[in-house]
Formats: sequence, structure tokens, C-alpha cells
Amino acid sequence: MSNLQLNAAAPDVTLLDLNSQPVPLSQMWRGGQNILLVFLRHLG
Amino acid sequence: MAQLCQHLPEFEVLNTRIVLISFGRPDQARVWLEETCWLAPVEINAPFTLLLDPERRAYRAYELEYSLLRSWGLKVWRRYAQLLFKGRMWRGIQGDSGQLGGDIIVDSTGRIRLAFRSHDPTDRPDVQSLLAALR
Repeated sequence: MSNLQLNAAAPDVTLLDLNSQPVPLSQMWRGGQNILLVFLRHLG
Repeated sequence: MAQLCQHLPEFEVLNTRIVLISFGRPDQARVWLEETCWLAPVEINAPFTLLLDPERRAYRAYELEYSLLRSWGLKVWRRYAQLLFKGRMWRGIQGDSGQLGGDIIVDSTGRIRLAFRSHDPTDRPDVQSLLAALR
């Protein structure tokens, strides 16, 4: 069973931008916007 | 992804930023985005935020699925053939082809509003259902 339920708090994970600088995901929604996270597969 | 590109203004009206997450290298991601959304390089950062997740932490945190078997089923080969027929270039497998994707909507309070995890690479929510979840 998934631990991620609708209306649950979204996990915050730190990723990298294109300059290899750390970016917490939460920074995206703290700006007051909704966020659509599109998880890509391999880029072939 | 190409469908998302065509509906960017609607996402903007709904106060929604599109954040792409890839476990590929930055140069691969840039090329892929240019080809997929027909964006000039200078425009890439405008409509999207592209973040890299080489260790796939976010993929695990958001419980994206993994299956080599489903990643290379008949439906997937058919889809690749269609894309090649339309002129997309095949660049080989860049990264772990068993990792599946998905689409997650997080609202402005940090709550999950929609979670769609792909069962196979052709399995993605249609744009209208994403827009409906945001309304």
C-alpha cells in the first residue's frame, strides 16, 4: 500500500539544478504556486 | 510531454509551475527538452524548471515504480516506432531503462493533490485530467 495519500504532505527531497546547485523541492511550492512534478524516464 | 508543452498557458492560468525531474545528465536533459518541446535553448528555463535527481531520491520518495519487463513491452516498442516515424532521433538508452515515471501535483500548501505512477512508459495521465485536478 502506498504511503503517499492524497492531501498528505508532499515529501521534500533536495535535488540539483542544471548548475549542480542543491534545490529543495519544497522551495517550488513555497513560492505560492501549485507544482506539477513530471518524473521522466531515461532520456533516450 | 509534448502535450504538456501545448497546454502551457492553461497551467499558467491555474498558477502552476511544471517541474521536470530527470536522473539523466544535464546535457542529455537539455537536448531531450529541446527535441520534445521544440524550445530554443534560451527558452528552456522559462516555462519549466528542470531538476536532476541522479540518485533517484525523489523517485523513491514519491514511490515511482520500477520494472524492466513492463518497460520493454510490445506497447513500448510500438510507441518508439511511432516516434521514430515522426522524426524523433533515437539516442540509445541513457540511464536505467527500468525506472518508470509519473506525474504528481503538489498544491501551494505542500499537499499532494494528484499522484499518478506510470505502469509502463506509455502510461501517462492525459493533460485534461491534470488540469481538472488543478481547478
